[in-house]
Amino acid sequence: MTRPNLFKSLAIGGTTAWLALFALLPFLLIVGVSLLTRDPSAFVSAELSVQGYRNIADEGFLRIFLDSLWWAAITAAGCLVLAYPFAYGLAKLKTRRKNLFLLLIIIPFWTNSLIRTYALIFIIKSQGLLNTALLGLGLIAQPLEILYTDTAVLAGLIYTLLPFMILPLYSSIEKLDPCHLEAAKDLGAGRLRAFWEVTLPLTWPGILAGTMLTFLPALGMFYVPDVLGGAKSLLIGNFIKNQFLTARDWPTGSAASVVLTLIMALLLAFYSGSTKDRPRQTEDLGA
Amino acid sequence: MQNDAIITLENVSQEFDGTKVLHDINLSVRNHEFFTLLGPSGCGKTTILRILAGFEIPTTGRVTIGGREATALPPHRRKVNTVFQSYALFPHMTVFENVAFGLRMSRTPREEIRARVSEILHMVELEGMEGRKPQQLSGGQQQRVAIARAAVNKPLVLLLDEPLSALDAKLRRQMQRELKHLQRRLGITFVFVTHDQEEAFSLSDRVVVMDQGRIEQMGTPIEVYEEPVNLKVAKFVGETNILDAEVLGQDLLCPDGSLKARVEGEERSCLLKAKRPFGEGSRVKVVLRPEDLIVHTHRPSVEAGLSLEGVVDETIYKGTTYDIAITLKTGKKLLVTEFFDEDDEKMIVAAGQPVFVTWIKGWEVVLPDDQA
Repeated sequence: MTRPNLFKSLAIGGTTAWLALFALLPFLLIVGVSLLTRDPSAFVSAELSVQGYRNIADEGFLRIFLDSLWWAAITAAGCLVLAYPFAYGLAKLKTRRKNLFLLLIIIPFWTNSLIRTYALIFIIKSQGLLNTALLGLGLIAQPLEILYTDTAVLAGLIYTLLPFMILPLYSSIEKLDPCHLEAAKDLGAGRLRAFWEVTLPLTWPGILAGTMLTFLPALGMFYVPDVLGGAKSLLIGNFIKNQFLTARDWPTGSAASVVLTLIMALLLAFYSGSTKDRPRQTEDLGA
Repeated sequence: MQNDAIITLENVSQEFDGTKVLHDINLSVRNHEFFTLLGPSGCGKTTILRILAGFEIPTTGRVTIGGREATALPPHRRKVNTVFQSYALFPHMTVFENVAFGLRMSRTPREEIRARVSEILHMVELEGMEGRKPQQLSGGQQQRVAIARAAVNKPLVLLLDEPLSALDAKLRRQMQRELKHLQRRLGITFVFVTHDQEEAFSLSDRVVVMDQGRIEQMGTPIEVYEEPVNLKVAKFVGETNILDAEVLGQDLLCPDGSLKARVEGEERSCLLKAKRPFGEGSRVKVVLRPEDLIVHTHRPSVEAGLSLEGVVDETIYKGTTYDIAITLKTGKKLLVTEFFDEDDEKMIVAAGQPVFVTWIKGWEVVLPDDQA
């Protein structure tokens, strides 16, 4: 076996083994547990049952599930609306400033996101930074009660996930060839029309990627509602966490996990299907 | 000239970050004309095109299109369309959608769009390609789509920014012919930008030669080639032989103001045809095209005019022509192009052979020695 081949096998084999051990195996365990029976004393007892699935087939779970999708959708939409103009402006900056701003986006990743979520409390609580500043400026008379509301959860989710929307958008906007926009204007399109007809479709891959990277994690981010929403079970992630840690009902928690994973897989399959037949950017045009 | 001008530029200058890229450009393009901006890269020709398209607003000066003020008019409100150097076809649209884009923007009825798109696609020989995406087309086909997309809007002026530069030589010549035909059939004014002198001459009614943001010369291809106004133009358009000469006096008896001058490498004085007066003792350059020179194997008679002695360096057979590189006694190199004449076998010369060079009297161009 030649050296490059050895390297290739080690690199691919190592990663595959890692994923098999720490991703596939736990998932199979979850699938297994979801088909067993609840046992308060020993987590689960080795008796086949579909009670877990039956438990989540009721109305309550469906509502949590739909709520979850709704929250994830709003989060992704909020991220998109905030991130698109930002990423657009960023892509048009001169290189040096661009790198500075990219660094500023990445720096928060150096701190654990749970800690950053706790830090948000100090900003939005009744006597927090935000209220102190607004009261000081005389913009409000009463402190805003944001903490432990849905607004706080949404703010937390968007805050945590925003970079995952900005980065793919930025990379697809930066790849835009300005001559396409010029061509659109040359052919009679005003600014808005040119954006709608040319910029938006050409940055569609970035929009899709950003949506996937914010929507899917938002479904499972249980700690944000836990910390900011006053432990209300808003997301499917909270439901699963509660089944395992509070209700001690592992089969039901596992069943919910399996369903969530399947939904995500479906969405990802849809995503890769919709990007596959889409034309690449324009490098292969012209010369 | 002003009355049927479709485009005028008056004292147009353009600056980028304090660097002047256009200096006081004045020009007017006539209706239905094939007008070419010719010059080396960075001479400002593309900037002029972008000012006409509305992508740039000149620092100073005035632009009119179709008789109306257009200096600061945004691109989408101008009756001009551009064929981009990189084509800039929309990759997410089919050929039909690309070509229909401009008509859709101007709210043309659906049926009319259909009819006009298929008419123009027929003209550029792309029928049956309507459903293809640009990436599925060859370079030449993409080029045609780009032209169709711009021309279908029936603009007052079609702006073409080096549209053929990405094509190989053969396709390029074919597209040059097609462009010329298309321009005649559409009856639209073309403003064409190129750095290729041959392309400019074979297509254009009029050519503007530019260098470093200035217009050096404007005229028909024949005028520019045969009567270049300075050495810069002479050197840029085609091959040139440039001889140094000194003016001995101006012969005022001759109607076209012949100069009495001494040309390098020759003791005798001679008469040169000059378009403008030169003072006695001033240094001038005599510009001669390779095809204006004649090579003799024996010293020609005095009536043939000046004959310059030299030695053949090499001969290059080119099919229809025969190039002879010669070094004169003075050390200056000359290039002579002879066209084959079947009745004349005199032209068989070999490297190392001593020869005499004369030129067709009156075909020389005398220019001031401006060290271009």
